[in-house]
Amino acid sequence: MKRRHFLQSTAAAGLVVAATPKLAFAQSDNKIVFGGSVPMSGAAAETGQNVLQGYECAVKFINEEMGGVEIDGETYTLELDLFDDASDPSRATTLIQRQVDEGVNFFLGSFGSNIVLPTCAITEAAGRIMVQAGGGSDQIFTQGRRRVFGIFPRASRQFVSSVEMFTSLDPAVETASILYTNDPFSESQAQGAQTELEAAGIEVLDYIALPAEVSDVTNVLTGIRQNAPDVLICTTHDQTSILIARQMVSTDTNVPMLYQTLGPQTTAYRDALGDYSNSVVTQSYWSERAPYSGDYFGSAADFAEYFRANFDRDLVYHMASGAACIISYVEAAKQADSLDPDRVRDALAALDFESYYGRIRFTEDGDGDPSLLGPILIQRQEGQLEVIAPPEGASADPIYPAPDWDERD
Amino acid sequence: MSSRTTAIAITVLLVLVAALLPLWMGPFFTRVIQLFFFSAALAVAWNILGGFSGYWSFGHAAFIGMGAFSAAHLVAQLGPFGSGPWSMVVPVLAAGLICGVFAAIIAYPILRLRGIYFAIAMLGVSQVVGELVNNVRWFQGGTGVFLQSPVPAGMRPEVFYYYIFGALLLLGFLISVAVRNARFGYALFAIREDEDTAMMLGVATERYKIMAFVLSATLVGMLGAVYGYSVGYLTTYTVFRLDFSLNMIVFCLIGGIGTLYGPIIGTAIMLFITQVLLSRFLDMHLLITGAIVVTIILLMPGGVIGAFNSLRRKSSDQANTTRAEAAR
Repeated sequence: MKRRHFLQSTAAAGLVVAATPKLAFAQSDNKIVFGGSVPMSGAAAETGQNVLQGYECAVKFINEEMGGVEIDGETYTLELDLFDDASDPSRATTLIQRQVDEGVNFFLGSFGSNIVLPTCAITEAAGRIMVQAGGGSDQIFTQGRRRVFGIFPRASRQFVSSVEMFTSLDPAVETASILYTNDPFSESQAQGAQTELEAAGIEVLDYIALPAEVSDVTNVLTGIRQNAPDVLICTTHDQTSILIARQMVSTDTNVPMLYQTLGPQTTAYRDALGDYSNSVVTQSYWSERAPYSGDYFGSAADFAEYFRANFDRDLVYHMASGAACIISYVEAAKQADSLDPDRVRDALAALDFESYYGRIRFTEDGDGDPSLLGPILIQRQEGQLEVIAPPEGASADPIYPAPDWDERD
Repeated sequence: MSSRTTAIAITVLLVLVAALLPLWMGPFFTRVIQLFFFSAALAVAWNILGGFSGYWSFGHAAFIGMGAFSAAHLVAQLGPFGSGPWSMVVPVLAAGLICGVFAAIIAYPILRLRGIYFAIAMLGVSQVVGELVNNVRWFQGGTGVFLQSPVPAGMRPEVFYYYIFGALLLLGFLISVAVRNARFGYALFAIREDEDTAMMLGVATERYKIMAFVLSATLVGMLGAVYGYSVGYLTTYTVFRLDFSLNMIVFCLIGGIGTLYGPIIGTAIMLFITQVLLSRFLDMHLLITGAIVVTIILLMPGGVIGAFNSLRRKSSDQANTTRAEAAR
């Protein structure tokens, strides 16, 4: 064979091998394989990296610290077989289909309902299971799917725990104003907040959209000062939250409670606002200060310690949520004592166990139980982030009404 | 057999093979080819404007987004247009019409720009339309819109969209052939080579450019609407994506810009690389894809078709030289 022909043949063979799906590798060699996609590039890349490290953290812990998982007398290790969907639904659906064809039974979710929805339609139709922490759209859980589970409650229920806290305050909250960034996530949260507030009898005085890039909110704050709500809810992103708080300070706009969904958790927020960040309330789906614990990782603080010892990204709740998907699968398989997808599905539906993430239980529709897996509420008190709700997980009482800006230290 | 007859025979054969493929192909490869049909149809539609007339649009994703959101809002406002596959006919045609009308409206000012200015202006149009859909509450770009599945009961969705996108690719390709072989096509080529000279020689450059722009936008709008149906739920970020615009250009560049088969060949190569060969690389696939694109463009500046033509010319020259030498 001539050298050129040899090279051509080798290249062709290589292409064929690379293009041929790896058949029936799932659950072989005592490995439990988790398929799925994560957005490692594109619009949702930052969060995708966080969720991925959560998955990796749980797999590492279970394989290395627990020696795998015992099911039906056999010990299995866990393996991730994930690909980058580039935040692109077309790419995600095509490659999820490939894994379905190859026999993967257990899927993890991508980030963003616009990707989770079409991909979970494929896994559901093929009788496979998806446990995800990236899609909160109601439609994922209300179209009759039985094999899709979400660690978070559906979007319309994500403010349940917040409103419960508002009504338990003394004096009770009677009015609220909502500012939100005009993007899918923030707007969904704002709509959910409005619905829950009105259902609880709290009057919504303002409902104002802010552009994604905003540099001045003083006009909006003038209206807030006039209406004087008990709570100002901002479903905004980090930088917008800092801007709002700064301009509230500079315009002396005081409200009994400033509640910002994103921002106050970060050190950038604390650095930018200093003592003014005290008494600001925020939400998180998980906190390392929450008094939760369970068989995997131990307590919330233990999870944080393990994560920081093995991974280099700043720890945010997405990591804990991602890891919670894996431990839910493992716990369900242990309870089913089987890796049969139908039995694991039934065990997931009946799952109810304590963990570092809190008590994990799904509703009949598959989303996270809002009373258990809804966001916990956090308030910065004397520089520390304290859990103030739900009461059973609280590390401090809420400070309400908050002192005026010039009285914060 | 003339080369034209051969081309027709090959096309008919390919269409027949494509029609039969889903009968034995697995769901994954059906989805890969479905994505290929969609992407190739976009590239073919882009090529009518960018390839034939030389007006490179960096913002054709605007028409994908407008098409998808138009179809979704038509259904939401007027109710479903029947059930099953036929329910998508009116929304898809209307989406194409809306995009065509929109293109006709912006054509006059925007097509006065040339080269990089036109490219950037189209990028701007795409951004502005995307922002409007995202920020104007009525459009629901932020929260997302739904399109009811038109897939007939008992049929696999990937097979259904395989045929729909395949049909649209065929339609786009036939339109492209018709344009290329008509006075319209010659006018576009003249514009591409030297617009001022073409105008001086009596070619109605303005009219032909607008026609190409509207035709291209209409096809892309229809494809956007079908894409909306295929994903079912879409937000602004699902459809108003820069990578859609860039992919149309890259696919044409790889295959051979301004040629009939180039966009299809380029799409096939790039999708095979990104969806099949590199699908398992979690964090390196974009780097490798970029390197491959740069390499192909450096080695074959005229794309695959250009390289093929150049090789054919070389071997023909060689044969002529050999014959001449033998004659001596």
